[in-house]
Amino acid sequence: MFASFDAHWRDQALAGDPQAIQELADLALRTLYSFCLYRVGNKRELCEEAVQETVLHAIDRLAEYDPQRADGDVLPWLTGLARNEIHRVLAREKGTVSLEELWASVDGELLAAYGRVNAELLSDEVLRREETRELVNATMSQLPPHYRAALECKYVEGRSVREMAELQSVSEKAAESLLSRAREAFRATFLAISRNIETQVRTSC
Amino acid sequence: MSTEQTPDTSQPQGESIADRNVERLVAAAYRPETPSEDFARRLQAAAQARATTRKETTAMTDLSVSEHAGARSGAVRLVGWGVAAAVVAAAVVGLIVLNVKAPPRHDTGVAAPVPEKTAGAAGQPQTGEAKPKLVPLKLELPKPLFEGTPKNMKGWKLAPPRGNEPFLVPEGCKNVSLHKPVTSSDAEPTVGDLKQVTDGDKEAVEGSYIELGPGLQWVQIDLRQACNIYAIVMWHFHKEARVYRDVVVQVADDSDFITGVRTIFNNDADNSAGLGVGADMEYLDEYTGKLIDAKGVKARYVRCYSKGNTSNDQNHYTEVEIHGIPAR
Repeated sequence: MFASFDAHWRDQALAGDPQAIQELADLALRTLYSFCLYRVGNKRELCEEAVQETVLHAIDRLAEYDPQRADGDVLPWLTGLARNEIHRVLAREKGTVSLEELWASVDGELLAAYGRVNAELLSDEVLRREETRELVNATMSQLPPHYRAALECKYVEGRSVREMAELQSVSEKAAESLLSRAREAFRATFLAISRNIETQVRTSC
Repeated sequence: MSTEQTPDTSQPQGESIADRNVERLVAAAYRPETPSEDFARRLQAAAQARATTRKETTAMTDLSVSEHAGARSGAVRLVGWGVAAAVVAAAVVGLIVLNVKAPPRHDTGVAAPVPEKTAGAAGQPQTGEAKPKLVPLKLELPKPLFEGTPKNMKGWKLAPPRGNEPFLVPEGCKNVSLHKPVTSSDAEPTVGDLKQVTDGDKEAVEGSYIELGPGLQWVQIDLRQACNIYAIVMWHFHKEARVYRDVVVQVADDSDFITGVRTIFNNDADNSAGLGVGADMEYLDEYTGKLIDAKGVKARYVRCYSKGNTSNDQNHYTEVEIHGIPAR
């Protein structure tokens, strides 16, 4: 097991070490998949294509990855490659990927509820709606990985701030601060996407 | 839809409504999509295969560079390499003369021109042993025979015709696929018999080629033992100017193409064959065959895919030659 995607990992991967390559593919499955999915219109086959091509390009171009500069975090480099693949896939699928299609069933009342996310507690019914699930997934996929990880750690895995701090080897204050910024990013993204949908729904009507 | 249902409004100290909504949304509605197990397996396999190919290619490129450097210094010395240089020079001159005077007609023993990408980069497996001498690959070419009016391919980006440099392979490299067993995705070809793919007959006449059904189809050759493969030469159907679509050539260690799958050539630009996007160029099928530099890759099975052509949806194979050396 490699501690991080550092110079040792890169050397091993360049040498074709199966463990090093497996870790790269695992990382792609854990993080790149969700990164790509909503960017290609929630189409699994396009997402799989983008993820696979990203990983293969990453292997081809591994010599370009600078672990020192990236501080052992290969994800930013990988997402950069993934953006190119997504761009290519979307260019090819021009006209078939759109939020409009994704949100065909959304209604005005639901959008209004989303718009009040900073002012009113959302009802259980809103939380149960499929559209809400899609919107939350889309929002999470747009967040930087460390924000997404913080929100998952706190609200999905149910860890305390102290546990998060221990996991990240930072102070509780720093963990709380990260969580706060992650929530803020989530709200801003959630609102931006729902407003975008609202605009599209209005335009189509 | 009603949003009148009253949620629990008790609010922990210091938490805003907005923060609580984030918590509720992530905890209750966040269902991250997870990749299927099948895709996870495919991705792992593809990544491992690419890493293996990359490693082999890098090693062979390094070796090839050093061999070319050695060949250059040998040419200066002339003495030690005299015989080999004479063979290479004769082949080059022969090719140039043939090219200038007239198209070759059923040429035998002609040095194969290089593929468009790698000029004679005869890769070597790394064994740590003495490097074998490189010689031009000799191919027996069929008669050129273009009939009918070629399709209008103006604007198509096709691979340029081959150059005239000899394609170098290690001495002892031979056609290891001749009369070897062939299987296919289409077990009962519409025309011909699968064994014709490796029968040595490359002529563009009736009875020399097989026709497989429409859509993506493949033929697979079992070399009966692992070989270091240096060149794969394919003739689909060279009776008229055609481009076969989504041509992909892979090698593997097992007949089901699960272990050690490596892609040697892929010109499927949009992944319509589902084997990944390839960067190789489409090409016009000609009597000279499509020569693919396999860089000495070690494998027992070779699979050639295609998905119709510019004239029809069928897939044709006149001959596939795999030039290599049985692995030790």
